[in-house]
Amino acid sequence: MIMAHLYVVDSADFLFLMRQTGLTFGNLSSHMAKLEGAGYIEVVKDFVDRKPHTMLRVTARGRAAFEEYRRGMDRLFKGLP
Amino acid sequence: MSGNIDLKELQRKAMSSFHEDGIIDIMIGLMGLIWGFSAFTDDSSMSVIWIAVVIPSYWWLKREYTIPRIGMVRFSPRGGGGLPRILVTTLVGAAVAVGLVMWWAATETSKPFYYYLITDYWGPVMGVGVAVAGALYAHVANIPRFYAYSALAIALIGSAQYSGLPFGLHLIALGAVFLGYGGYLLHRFIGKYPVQAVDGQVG
Repeated sequence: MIMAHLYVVDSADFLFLMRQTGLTFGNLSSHMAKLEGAGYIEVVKDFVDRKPHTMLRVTARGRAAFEEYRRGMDRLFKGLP
Repeated sequence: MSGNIDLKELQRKAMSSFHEDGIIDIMIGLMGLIWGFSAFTDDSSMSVIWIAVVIPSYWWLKREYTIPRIGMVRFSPRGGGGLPRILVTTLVGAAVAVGLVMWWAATETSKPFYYYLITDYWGPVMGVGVAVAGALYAHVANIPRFYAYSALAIALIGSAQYSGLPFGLHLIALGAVFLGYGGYLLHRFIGKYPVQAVDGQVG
C-alpha cells in the first residue's frame, strides 16, 4: 500500500503518506525503514518556498520491484476460478 | 494485499487531497481581480503583477495551512500525476500559434476568416477558451469543481461582449466567485484537518 501511494507521485513527505494510507506514525515508520533498507525508497531533501523539506521517493529498483509484484499478483488472481 | 490496486484512483485521490484546501481557487480569484482592475485602469503593468504576487502567495499559503495539516506531495507525469507533458506542449503550442496568426493577420491586408471570427466574437471565443482550459485542468488535476467554474467562465466572459458592462467587471465578478469559494474551502479544510506534528500527535 505504501509503495502504491509513492508509485503514483514523484515524491511525498511522511505526513502526506500517513494521511493517505491511514497508518499511524509508528506503523508507517517501521515499514519505511524496511523499504529503505531494501533500497526501494530513498529520502530526498527538497525545498518548499526556499525552506528545506524531507521527502520520500520510490527508487528505480523500487519501481521495478513493485511492477513485478503487480504482475505476479495479476497472474495469481487470473489463475483463480 | 490485493493485486487489484487501482493506481489511477490512488493518484486521483492524492491530487484531490492536495487541492482540497481551495488555495488554487483563491489564487485564480486573485488573478481575476488583478486583471479585472487592470482593465479599468488601462495600466498593463498590473496584469503582470500577478506573477510577483500570486505565485509566492500560493506557496506561502500551502506552507502555512496545507503542508502542516496533510503534508507535501509532488506530482510527475511519469508517476501519473501532474499535467502530462504532451498536454502542456499542446497548450503552449496552441497559444503561440494563435499569437503568431494574430500578429501575421494584423500585418496583412487580406485577413483569414478566423481572424474576423476572433475579433468579431471575442467574448464567446475568450469564454470558450477559458472554459476549455478550466475543464482540462479539472480532468487532469481531478478537481471536479473546476467544471462548474468553466461553465461560469463561459457565462461571464462569453457575455462580456454583449452585456454593455465593462469587461473588467466580468473578470472581477469571476475572480470574486473563485476567491469567495476558495476562502470557504480553506476555512472548511482548516476545520477538518488539525495541524499534525510528524510524530503523530495533534499540535
